[in-house]
Amino acid sequence: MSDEPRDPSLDPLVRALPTSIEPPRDLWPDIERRLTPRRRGLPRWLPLAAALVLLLLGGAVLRRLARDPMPGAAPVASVDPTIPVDPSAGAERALLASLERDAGSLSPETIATLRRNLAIIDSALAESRRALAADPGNGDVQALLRLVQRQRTTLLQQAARLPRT
Amino acid sequence: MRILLVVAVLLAVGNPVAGGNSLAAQRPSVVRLVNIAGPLVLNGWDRDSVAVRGAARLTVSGPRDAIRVDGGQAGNDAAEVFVPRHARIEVRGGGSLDATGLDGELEVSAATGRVRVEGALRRVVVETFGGGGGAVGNVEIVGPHASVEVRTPDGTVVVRGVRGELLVTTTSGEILVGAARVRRARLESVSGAVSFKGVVERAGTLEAQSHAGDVELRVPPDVAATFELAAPSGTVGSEFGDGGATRRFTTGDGGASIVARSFKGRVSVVKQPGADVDLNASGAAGIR
Repeated sequence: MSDEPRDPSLDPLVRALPTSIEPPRDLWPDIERRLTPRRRGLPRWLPLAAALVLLLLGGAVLRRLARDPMPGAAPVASVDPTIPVDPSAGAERALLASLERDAGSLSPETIATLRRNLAIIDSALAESRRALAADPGNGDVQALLRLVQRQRTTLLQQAARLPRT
Repeated sequence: MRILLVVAVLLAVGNPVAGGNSLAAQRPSVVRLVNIAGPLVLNGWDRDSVAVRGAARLTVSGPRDAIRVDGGQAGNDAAEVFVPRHARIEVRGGGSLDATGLDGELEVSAATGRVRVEGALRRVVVETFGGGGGAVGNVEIVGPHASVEVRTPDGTVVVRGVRGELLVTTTSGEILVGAARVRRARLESVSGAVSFKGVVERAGTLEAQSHAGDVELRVPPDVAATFELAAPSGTVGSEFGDGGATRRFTTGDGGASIVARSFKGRVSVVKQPGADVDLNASGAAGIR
């Protein structure tokens, strides 16, 4: 604010001024139109493309489920920790892993045959192991144990060579 | 109507013969049969060519020295294929197989049905595995083959008349060997019985073992061999001497090595005159 003295002749002029002034034209509608983002119509092909993508994704998931066993599904076979380790144990683990991976592409009959015969083998291995524990130096039991171990490897190798569907 | 179409086709290397029921005028050393879904009859013949007869639609193709017969995994129609008897034949996959008249090599893998091979081959290899229809796992090998290998998880394996080397391995199957004359033989089953009737050549070896099944050997009374018989949790019996849990003995001046073991079955050795003579050529009945 200025400290200069006020000119009394200006008072009537100031009082004569209007308290508000209307603009010559309404500018707001134009401004509002510029502020609002433009809304375009959706392309007609977009819903079709979305449905196609969903269909493909669903198919891929179903194929994956059919090929891989479910997390809770019974494995093709398991490695019995009570069975003594033999030189082919590493190879057997690799074969088993491969068969687990491909279980979905083997026929149910093949899987059943594999499971049934692995159960027979594992039972025989456990029996031989108990006999060997009781008589560790028995060469005949050792030879029979090797026979069963050999058969286990042969069976897994055979199954691994089967054609996948 | 089954018609044998004979279409002589001189093949360029790798040039396929279109369509099924074809004959490739070739001199193949290897014939590969793949994806034959239905029953397959394989006949060895004296021609240097491959022919297909039957309802099945097969494709014959391949380079000059290796013919491929492909079933394309379609249909279950029976197929009859004629192949040079001296060739090496490879059959991969498929159902039942009946092969006769071959004297080269035959390798059968991943078969899921019954397999029967009759002839006098230099080498026979058969691998079967359950998974198809029919008499799964039954294998019958007949004739004076020089070398036989059979691997199967189950079913009965019959080998009759083999001359030379023999390997049979099965998990739960039964092994029946008859009229054999072997230089080296190994017979193994985990839960099935093992039966051998035949002769082990001088300096030859025979090893017959089963974990749970019985093991029976029928050998000539004048056999010259060192025997090693054992049944840790079973019984041993031999017409060559007294029984016992484990028996080791020699007959004649030794020579051959014969081992028979069963963990909990019965091991027996029986004197069998004419053990290598095939008295009955009509199947497993002739073995026992």
